[in-house]
Amino acid sequence: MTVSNQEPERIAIRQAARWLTELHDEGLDAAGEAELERWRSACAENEAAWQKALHLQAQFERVPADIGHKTLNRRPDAGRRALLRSLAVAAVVLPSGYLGLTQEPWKEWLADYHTQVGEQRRVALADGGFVLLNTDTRIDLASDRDKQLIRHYSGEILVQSSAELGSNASTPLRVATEQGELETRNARFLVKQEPDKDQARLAVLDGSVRVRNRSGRYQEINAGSTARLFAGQAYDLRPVGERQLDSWSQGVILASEMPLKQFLAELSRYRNGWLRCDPAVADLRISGVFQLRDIEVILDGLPVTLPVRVNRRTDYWVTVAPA
Amino acid sequence: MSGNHSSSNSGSCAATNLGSMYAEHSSWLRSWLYKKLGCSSQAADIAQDAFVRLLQVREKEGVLPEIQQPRAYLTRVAGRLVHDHFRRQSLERAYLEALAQIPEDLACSELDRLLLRDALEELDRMLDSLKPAVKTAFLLSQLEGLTYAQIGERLSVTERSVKRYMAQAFEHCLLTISL
Repeated sequence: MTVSNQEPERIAIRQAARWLTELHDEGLDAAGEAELERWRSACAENEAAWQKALHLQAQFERVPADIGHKTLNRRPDAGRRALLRSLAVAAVVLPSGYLGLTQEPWKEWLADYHTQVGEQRRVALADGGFVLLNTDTRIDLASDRDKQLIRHYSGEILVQSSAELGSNASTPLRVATEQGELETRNARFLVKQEPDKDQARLAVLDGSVRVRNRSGRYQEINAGSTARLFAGQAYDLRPVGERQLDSWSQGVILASEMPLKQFLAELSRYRNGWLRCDPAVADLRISGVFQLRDIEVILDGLPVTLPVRVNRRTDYWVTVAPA
Repeated sequence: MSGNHSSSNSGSCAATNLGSMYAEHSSWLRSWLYKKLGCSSQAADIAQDAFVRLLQVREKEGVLPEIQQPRAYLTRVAGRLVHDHFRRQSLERAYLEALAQIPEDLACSELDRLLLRDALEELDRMLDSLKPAVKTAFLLSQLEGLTYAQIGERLSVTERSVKRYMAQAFEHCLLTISL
């Protein structure tokens, strides 16, 4: 078609394919063999193409005929195609959830805020409150005279509704996520998107937050409780306990006998690239206070306290494996 | 994380691009894949693979390809990887079924089995996009050693067509091999 087809490698491949086609019909006679030899030795591209031909032959020779037919010529997988079709349909039919439902004619769009991986950012709210965006997070913030709305798209936020907790803010604050809608006048709380599970996590640290479901009913979640938000409802209410869920807002991760796998999953939220935990060391426990501002230092320090080594194939691809 | 300001050659400049590409796109790509696969760890693996492909392109070419629409580009790459994932899964199933039908005393050694699996995986990948008629003709020749006339008879097509199919299949296979 284009110039690239005329490249010597490409031409050699086509010629090699022709030779193979001849060879596999009724074979080559002596003259044919000699001709093939001449072709091979004519240039490096030809020889390289022929090496590929030999490789292809060798691979086929390893395959017994009956196994080859049953595997390489298997019927297309009907079940799998049906599954893919149903997934495609589901993706179209499912509504975009609360982000869509809460579309309102906001008069003033203040902005869209986001953080990169490893970044945090504080955004002030009316009434002296704030939203703190953790790593890799995106929100829109809208407000007018009588309400404030945070649309939370991804990542994790810590929200405080007013400058001083205990006093009600003059305007209600709402947080809309794909999985449910929250409302409060007086609270400090965390919302974390978990797209893998198609849910969000809510943890109320102070005050109380109401979860409004699709039929307009409210569930009240009080300080010290966490809940899973899914399809507009809060599930699995549990006590926050001793866990310092907002320690990231102080720039640290607190770990107390945390399984290494979980610890690395947490760290990987703050750095670009793939941080893999070898299953052999996944259950080692780690404790301590770790500074988020330099994740690489934390990683490099792991072998000091744990029987592990840190393999860096590239900066984007790090594996923690048994020492 | 970032503090990589010592960029003195094109390599580290491209790395920054890959970094920002990863930062911006890895998380939606994972959720996109999750919706397709229904398994978060597979989704994470494949998303990672998609970026590794980019990394490989960069290492081969020295720079990242000029990508106008990263989302479209990444979904295309990831879509291919998903397709590949399902292809391998169905190959694996077919292989296990075929093995189960072989009498015990014909069973081959561990090494043969490994080589066989390896060969099947590579051949299956090569043959994946061939038209069914081309593929069947090719397999009748390569697995059973039938002549093109015999294959033509079996498939009710002319010998010339079979020859065309064969040339097409050989060329396609050779193009996918990198030694």
